[in-house]
Amino acid sequence: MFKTNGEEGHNEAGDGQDDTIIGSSIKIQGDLVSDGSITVEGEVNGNVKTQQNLRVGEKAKIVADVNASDAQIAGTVQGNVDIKGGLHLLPSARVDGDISASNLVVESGAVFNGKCSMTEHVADTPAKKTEEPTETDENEE
Amino acid sequence: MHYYLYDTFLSDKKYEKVIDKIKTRLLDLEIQGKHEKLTLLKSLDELVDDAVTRGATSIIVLGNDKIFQKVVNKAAHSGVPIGIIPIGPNNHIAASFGIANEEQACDILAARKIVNFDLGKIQDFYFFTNVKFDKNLSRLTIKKDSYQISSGPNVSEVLVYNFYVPKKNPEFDKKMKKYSAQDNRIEIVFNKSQNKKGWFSGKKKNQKIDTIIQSTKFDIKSFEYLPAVIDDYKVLKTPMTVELAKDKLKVIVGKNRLKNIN
Repeated sequence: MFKTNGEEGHNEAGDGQDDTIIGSSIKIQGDLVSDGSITVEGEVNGNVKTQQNLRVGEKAKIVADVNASDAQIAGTVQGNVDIKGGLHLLPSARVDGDISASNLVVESGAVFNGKCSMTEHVADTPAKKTEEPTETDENEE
Repeated sequence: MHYYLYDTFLSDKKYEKVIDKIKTRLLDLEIQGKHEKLTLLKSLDELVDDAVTRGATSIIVLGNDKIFQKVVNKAAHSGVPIGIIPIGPNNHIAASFGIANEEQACDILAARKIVNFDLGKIQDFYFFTNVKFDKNLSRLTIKKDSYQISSGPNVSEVLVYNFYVPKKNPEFDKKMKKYSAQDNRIEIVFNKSQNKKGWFSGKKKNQKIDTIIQSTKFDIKSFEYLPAVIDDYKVLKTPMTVELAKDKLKVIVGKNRLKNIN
């Protein structure tokens, strides 16, 4: 009967949309630095750096280093990729450069030319159990 | 003292009844003030300046989005709150503020809930909604912080938004709904046009949002002077710096305003 404000008004929190969307119709020259998440569908000639997520579209091209919290790459990156969390290379992805990530998924078809170093993610590693099943060994002896 | 400013189209006889109704309601609510009608011979800027020097405590515009947008610059310079009584079509801004009709507007003015909004600023000129470029876009260069943006051939419009007014275009409304005039940012939006084939209407041009970048300042340059339309009424030419003016405008708003307006 009564319409609430949320039904037709703007959603305060948004719906998980990216703060910066670089479309396929534009070209960026220089370093792209953002506090929010970034989606790249166009061309960026410069470093891309964000504290949040990065999504590189199928037709996108980044010529320089990439630095993000988590990333999903479907396009081309010609530079080093340094990701704190997880990096997902989709089948159409091409990375010419070194990769550093704590969690890496490379799908079949993705092209990767470079070195790869996996950084350990401290929060996700399970605590080592100090109590080993020694009781049974002692009994056998 | 409240200063009521009527848009030119309200001199049409068909609005007489509505205006009489508004005047009666304002009298009932004891928020009367000086009423003035805008004509082609009177300058809006001069009228507002004059009202402010005479001690107007609020400027209330009667009409639609156009008159509201035109008053913003002077209201921002003077610091006097503005309100709107929507009459006639094209009242998207009033609707965003939770003001559905003229009767409700009078009650909202009496309640006097004031909200601060950011504005866009070009040199010394303030604007509320957007700056629009739609000619020779390939010659446009936009600089933000450490990078430069250039547009490709299929970009049809470049707009710098301070406040996006929902216009019942689902694609635009959905993408722009998280950006508000209180988020300490202005947004640059690149729209691209796509040809769409209809069954009966032939080829149709369809606008789509291509790029959205947020910032507090954009430097816009071009090889030659390019016109930019500000708030659909004022034309300025490049080069220009579009920047954010934080909490510069005071507006009297209603309870049912958009959720992204605090």
